[in-house]
Amino acid sequence: MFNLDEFFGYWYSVGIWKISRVFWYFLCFELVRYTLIDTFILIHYKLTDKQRKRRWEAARQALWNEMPFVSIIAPGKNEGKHIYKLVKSLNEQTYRNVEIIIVDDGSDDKTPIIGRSLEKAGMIDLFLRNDARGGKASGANLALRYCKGKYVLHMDADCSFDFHAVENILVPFYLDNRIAGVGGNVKIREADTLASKLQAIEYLKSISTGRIVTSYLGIYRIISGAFGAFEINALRQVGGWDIGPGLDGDITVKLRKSGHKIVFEPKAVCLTTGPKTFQALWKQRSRWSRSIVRFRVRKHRDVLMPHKGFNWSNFFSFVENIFYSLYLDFKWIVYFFDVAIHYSRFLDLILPFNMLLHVISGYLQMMVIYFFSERRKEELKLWPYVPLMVLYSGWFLRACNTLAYLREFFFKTSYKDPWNPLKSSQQALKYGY
Amino acid sequence: MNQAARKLSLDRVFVQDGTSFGVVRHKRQINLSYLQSVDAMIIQADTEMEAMGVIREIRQLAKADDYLKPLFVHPLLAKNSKLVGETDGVADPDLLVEAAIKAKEIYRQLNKLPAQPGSHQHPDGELLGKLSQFLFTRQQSLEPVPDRFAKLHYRFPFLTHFFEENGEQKSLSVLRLGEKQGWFNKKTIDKLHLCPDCESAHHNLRATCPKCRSVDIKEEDLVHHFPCAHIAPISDFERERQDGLHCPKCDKTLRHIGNDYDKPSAIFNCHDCHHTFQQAEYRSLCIECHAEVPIEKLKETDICQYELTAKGQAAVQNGAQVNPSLLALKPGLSEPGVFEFDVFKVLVRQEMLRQKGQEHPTAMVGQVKIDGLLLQEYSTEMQERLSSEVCNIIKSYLKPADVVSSKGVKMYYFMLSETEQRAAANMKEVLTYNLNKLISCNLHDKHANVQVDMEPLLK
Repeated sequence: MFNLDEFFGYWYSVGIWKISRVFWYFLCFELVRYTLIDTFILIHYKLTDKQRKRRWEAARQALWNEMPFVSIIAPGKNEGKHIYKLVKSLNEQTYRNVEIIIVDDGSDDKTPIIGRSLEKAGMIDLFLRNDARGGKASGANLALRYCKGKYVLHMDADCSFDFHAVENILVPFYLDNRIAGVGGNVKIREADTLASKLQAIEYLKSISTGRIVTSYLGIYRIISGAFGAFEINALRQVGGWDIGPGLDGDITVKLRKSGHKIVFEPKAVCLTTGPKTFQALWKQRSRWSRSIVRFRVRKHRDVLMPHKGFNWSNFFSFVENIFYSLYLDFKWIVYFFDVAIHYSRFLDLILPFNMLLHVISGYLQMMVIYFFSERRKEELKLWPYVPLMVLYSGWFLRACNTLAYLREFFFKTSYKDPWNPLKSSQQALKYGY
Repeated sequence: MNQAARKLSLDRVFVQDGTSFGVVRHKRQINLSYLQSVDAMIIQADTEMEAMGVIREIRQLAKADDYLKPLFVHPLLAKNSKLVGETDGVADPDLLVEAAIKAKEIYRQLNKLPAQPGSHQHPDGELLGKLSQFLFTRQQSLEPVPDRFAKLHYRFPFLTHFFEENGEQKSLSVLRLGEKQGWFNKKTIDKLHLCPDCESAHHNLRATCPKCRSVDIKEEDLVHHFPCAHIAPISDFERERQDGLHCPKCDKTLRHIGNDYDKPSAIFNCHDCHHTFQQAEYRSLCIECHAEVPIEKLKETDICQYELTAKGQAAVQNGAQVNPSLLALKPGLSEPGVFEFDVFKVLVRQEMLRQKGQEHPTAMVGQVKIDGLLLQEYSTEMQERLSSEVCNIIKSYLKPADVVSSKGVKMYYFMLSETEQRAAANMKEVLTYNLNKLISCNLHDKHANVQVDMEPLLK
């Protein structure tokens, strides 16, 4: 029988040094990075809110004064069922000087019929279809070729938007003319399954607040493919999107490498549908993880080397990403064996305490998020599920990511991913893209 | 041989086995007494047009014995299949045995017709009656003949002669009536797509820009370069003074279609409005009336071969009339008192003759024209309703003796037999107001506008 008095009495008696020794992994990496640094920066962010609001208002005014033409592009396969809802959502936007370009990447459902009908009805400006599937990057590049706007908004067809989202994602371009890319704040729309609920919490931590922090530190590294804005000349200058998976991270790095500034805009809220089952989630996360190895470690490894265009913020952005996503994933295995070997007799006390620390840390983060969120009421419903994040992040995602990293390192499995057509992947592999 | 024939003929008369054959070269030679004095005619005109003129003149005669007269063409015209198809065959004046047999067969059938055939109130009914008699006496089916000059691309022998030049499409309503009446069996031999405005089959199909309808559009293949995911029109991959294709993104030369690149689709560019699109709008330009409509708005029509049913044969022999409830077939004509335009013209001519004898002629003619109405935007049902409404409004201002006619949905004519000019001017004003109100309240066509013109008949 588990005795709480004995449990807490034990950890109280061993003292802080022993606790530090046993939970060094949590204290050194997880607590510091995701709880302390994040909280500190978010507090600072909140304290400087007034000043930022003034600058924001001036930029917003500049946006409305100029009223630039904006191209909204949504490439995808078999997304016909979402197009109408997407268009309706865009019609509700405060900013409407836009053209909507939908690209159908070789759909085999009714997408072409739906798209053509909407184009004929004038609800979308251009519907482009490739009879042969070419992959998401080629779809986005096709749309880019015909964009007429000053800015390009890339979005997934299954997304919907807060009514200020388009306006809000454009404002940062008027804060600083070096900004060439703005990432939107992507949240999970319907958290109706356990997998969705845990993803919703994860998105709140890693996207809604995590990206405020990375953007603040100047190391923001991924403009989500679900909702991102780009300055069209910069986008064309870097040649548009390259073959994925992970093309959204890749395009961000390409823009950063070419000297452009990338920021995250928390007020540009977009709702998306995440995988509903753990099986689908596993597939999605494996793909994302493989792209870290493929793009960060292989394709863009020059960011880490001293060269002509070396840039410290890019360097730190990569180091932070590789260290926390990749290195610590393997380091965790070392930690696991360290504890298992040295403290095998105390595992019945260590494991619950470890979980307790993570739960406390999780709730601390949720409290911080609560103060930043515009959807507090809805997000409060997720609070009971925070303890499960220990299993979700600590075991499920860690196992998924580690396996994906290893497979990509040794077998380059991203080139076999059916997410891209084989013809494109084979050529990308041949040329080392 | 009939003595009158010998006496009146401008040409020779031949007799074979008791059947007399007159020869005619031009329609001006046709004399009713001469025609009635011979059993059959041989047409020996110099040109196809003259021969057709003779046939038309004879078929339009009033009495069944005259318009059903056996007609043959001279062997000199035998090569003209159109003429042969319009007559009962070829007859050589020196060898008339077969023609005489054929003429006798026709007369055998002709004798089965009632002495006093029933009169039909409606022009279509009248024509159906005549056509049925023709098919009955010839014991053959009505086969449409391809004709590149015909508005329908086909002519219907016998029937075509009752309509003005290029009026073949009017045959269709007669044939449909025969079919509804149960007198005809049909077999579809072709399908036509007709202009919804003038029912012509002469049109030019073109790919146009869906935005500005320009035909100045150019289609280009899209090229997808696999290694770098660049995709653009093929012209982006072409370089001046260099063969082959080169990727503008990664600078590689494209080598092998299907291997390092493909052409997943194509795209159009409009040179007029610079619109980009993948699906051109295919539109039809009518060569006759210049109406331009999307091809899906073209009226699909079956061209059929018709033969008399047993019911049809019985109706011909008994002189049965067409069921009047089946006559209201055309938009705008379903209302009583709305006349076919050809009939309206006859009535106008008659009224002119009548008014000429009067000291103070009072007849007026009027025209209602709906400008700027995009017919292709409305269904046939809607067009019919509109036409019917317009006719009803016009009729509400007419006296019982006045007549209305429509020529399509956009054009209406009326004749006021006894109306003073001042009353006509008032009527014009009210009619213009009410018709414009009808259009503006019921149609979303902002550019549609009704114009009413009236003038004295004897101006």
